[in-house]
Amino acid sequence: MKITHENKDGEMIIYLSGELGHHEALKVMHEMEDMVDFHSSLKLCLDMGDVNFMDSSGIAVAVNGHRMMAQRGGQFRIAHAQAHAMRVFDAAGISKTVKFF
Amino acid sequence: MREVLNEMSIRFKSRSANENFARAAAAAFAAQLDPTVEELADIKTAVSEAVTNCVVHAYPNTVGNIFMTAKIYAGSIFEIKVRDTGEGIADVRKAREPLFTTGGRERSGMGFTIMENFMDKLKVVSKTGKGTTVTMEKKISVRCGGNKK
Repeated sequence: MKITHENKDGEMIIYLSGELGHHEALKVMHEMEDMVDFHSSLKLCLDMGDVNFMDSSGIAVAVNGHRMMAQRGGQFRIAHAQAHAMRVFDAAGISKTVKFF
Repeated sequence: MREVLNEMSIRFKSRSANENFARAAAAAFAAQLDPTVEELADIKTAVSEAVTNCVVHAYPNTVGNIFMTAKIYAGSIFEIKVRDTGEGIADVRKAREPLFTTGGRERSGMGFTIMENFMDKLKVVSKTGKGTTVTMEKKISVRCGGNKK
């Protein structure tokens, strides 16, 4: 899993590339927290366009991102989730809480 | 008894780095059934959930052995068994409920639900102090032109 970030028009975008499982999930959560804290971001976007595998750990990452931004009075969204990742998210009915683009 | 056409078995340590290895190995073995991209992703995801459960819950403060056996039965049936000799699950019914977890914040409580949704059959047998065996089965669709043997 490769994690990069970009501060774009006031929105912190975290780009994930590779496989997102339990082994990678904590690292992604820490990166989201660190970047949002460091830049005092009120908008966070998780770009999953290059994630080629995801299990339920991705659900935990999404829930944490959503919760973290809600606590800060900010916004959270997920961009470019692939069809398979969406099937995993849908199993948890997460699109009711988290915004997808 | 159903006819077993092929079988493989591996043992690996309950290190989180092996989650990736386990799902890749299961997918590589299942590939001979010529599954669709979606079917293969389903298998990888279900195996990932089962193995992660072993890493997180079966051996919480130690590193133990995980045994994985895959079988192919006549009729394009893929079966995967993930077994540990760890702590076991006290209440399997509770553990299988969506969103129930005793794991950390990196867990969602959706593991068994995903296994159930993405595979055709899921069986969980567990004994406290003895370990857990998860058996899953999926029928791989036979496509136009016939699947490779």
